[in-house]
Amino acid sequence: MLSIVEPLLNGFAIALTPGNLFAAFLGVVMGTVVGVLPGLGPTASIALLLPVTIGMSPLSGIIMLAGIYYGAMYGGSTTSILVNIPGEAASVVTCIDGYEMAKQGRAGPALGISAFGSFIGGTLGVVAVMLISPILAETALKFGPPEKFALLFFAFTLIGYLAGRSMARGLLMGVLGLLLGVIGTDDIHGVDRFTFGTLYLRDGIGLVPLAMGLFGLGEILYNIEQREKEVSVMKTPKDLLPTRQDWRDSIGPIGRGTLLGLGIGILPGGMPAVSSLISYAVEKRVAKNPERFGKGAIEGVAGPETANNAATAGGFVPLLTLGIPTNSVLALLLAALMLHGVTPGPLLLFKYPDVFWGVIASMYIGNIILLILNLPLIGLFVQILKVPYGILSPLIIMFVLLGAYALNNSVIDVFVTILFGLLGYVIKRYNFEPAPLVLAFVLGPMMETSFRQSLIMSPSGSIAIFFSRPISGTLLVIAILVLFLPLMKQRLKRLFLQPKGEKS
Amino acid sequence: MKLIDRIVGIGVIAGGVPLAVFSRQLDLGNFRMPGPGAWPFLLAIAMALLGGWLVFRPQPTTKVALKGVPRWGRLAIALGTLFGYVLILESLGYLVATTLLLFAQLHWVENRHWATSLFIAVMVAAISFLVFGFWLKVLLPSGILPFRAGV
Repeated sequence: MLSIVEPLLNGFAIALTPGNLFAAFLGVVMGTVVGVLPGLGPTASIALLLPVTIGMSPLSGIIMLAGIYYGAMYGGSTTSILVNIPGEAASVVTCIDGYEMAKQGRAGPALGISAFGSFIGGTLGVVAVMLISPILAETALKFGPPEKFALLFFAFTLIGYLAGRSMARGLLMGVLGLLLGVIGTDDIHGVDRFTFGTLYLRDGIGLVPLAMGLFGLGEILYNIEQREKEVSVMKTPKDLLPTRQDWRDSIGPIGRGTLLGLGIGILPGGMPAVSSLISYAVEKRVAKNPERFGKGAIEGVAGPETANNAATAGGFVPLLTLGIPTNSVLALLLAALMLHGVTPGPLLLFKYPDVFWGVIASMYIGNIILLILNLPLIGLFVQILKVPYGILSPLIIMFVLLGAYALNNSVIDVFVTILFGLLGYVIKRYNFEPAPLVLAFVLGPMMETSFRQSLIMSPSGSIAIFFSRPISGTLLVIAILVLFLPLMKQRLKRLFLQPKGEKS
Repeated sequence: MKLIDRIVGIGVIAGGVPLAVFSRQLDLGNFRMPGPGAWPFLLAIAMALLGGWLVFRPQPTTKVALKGVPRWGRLAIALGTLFGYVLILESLGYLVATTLLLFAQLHWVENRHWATSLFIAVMVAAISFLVFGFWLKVLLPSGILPFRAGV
């Protein structure tokens, strides 16, 4: 324990130099600003702003990139809450209750709890990165393809919890998401699947056109079709910050979200989206009134937002200590580190202690800057909702289409976004949920790769490999229980609660 | 709800069958070396099973009404302008196409006065052009304009 105090203090001394402090501040500001623009999530933000860091010292550059990452993550949550457009996969779950809160005039508390939860999850995540990096890194190494598949399958089974009243509908949306994830060139055999000979589909469907279309555009088209001429779908925003009751409701989800996010964030495949999904399912499960979820429950924002930020911090463990990025943003950060001449891995701590501890210290500072910066901005963000919906919705449409185009400078992305917008409208009109589809779409390709890799590495080519390894076996048994428990409960209820005379 | 679930369920089962056939054509492989068709084949089966669940599961007999009466006119105009935007974006350029899109949405879909619609459309298109094209260096199509943003 004592052995880390001295290098950490040294890290703070480095991170608090005016140049590095400014880099962290600038990174957080730019990340937030770009992340708030619909469609530009952390990956796009880092890709767009990476050139800004070239020419800086490696440490300042990395500190700025980490700041951009946190800022963009928070910015993505802001658009999820205000206009139902998730900036990235981790914010998809936030849309469910966050946007409902905004519609009820509670955008302020939703943004506030998201900022506090992100801060708590992020900061405690950094503490854990610092204290238990080596142990966690060892655990992560035990995570082979079967364990990764089991974790992702477990996350998939929880998708049913996002579906509101009908698990069958939720799972159907989930399977549809998995199928959409299949489109493109197969990673293992290099065969084109369901591309219909088009070049565009070879890379698969992009997450951004899919998520922005289903959520943002789908919602707007639905409102256009449903709304009477001048009736706003948004109530006037009331409080700007969470009330005492909001805090009471959120403290448990924030605590659980931190632990979940940390545990999941360090695992390969345990990206922030998985942690937010599991957190939502847990909160709905432990809630006294689970029927409030999906209708603006603050716990549905607090838990997932905390979890995804804790997972973001947790993801730095395998990145810095093993050189393994657990999601696409961290893969981009890995490339950025190497661009700056720093190769992450077990030797990073010894070869570049200043970089390692400087980045760790800057993560604390970045989280504090994020909170200080964003709390006063809540008032400003909430003002957006005071713009009449009849003016706001065309602007949202424009940003969605612009965000889609900016990805690859491609009109086809715009077209695909509109198609998913139409699908999103149909889904909403007929009471289905888009969130399971989007999350399954994200999990699908990883699930498939780890499933096939597991079978290939299995000595007898048998699915027994998933059950013969303790971690994957346990996770799969839990997943199967999660999947079938509601059905069994229903059957038992019907059996025991049926009036005697009605028994056949 | 019951009727919709049944229609969706039957559609899903009907979709699952050709999907399974296509997946088989991609090569299923075997347990030691699953082919590129194995995963979609499993998904097609899962889809068909879920479709069956939707069709045959016991459901409450109470009717769940759809939300409101559809207002197809406005929706059709909105969709028409969106697909029209895709067609004109590259030929007319971002600035002109976006101004037209915003004007159409504000004036015809949202019933705003034409002058207000035009003012907002021009302002927003120009500001977004400056932010994305010049600050974020996104290569926006110039179309009929003589200059190009993002370079």
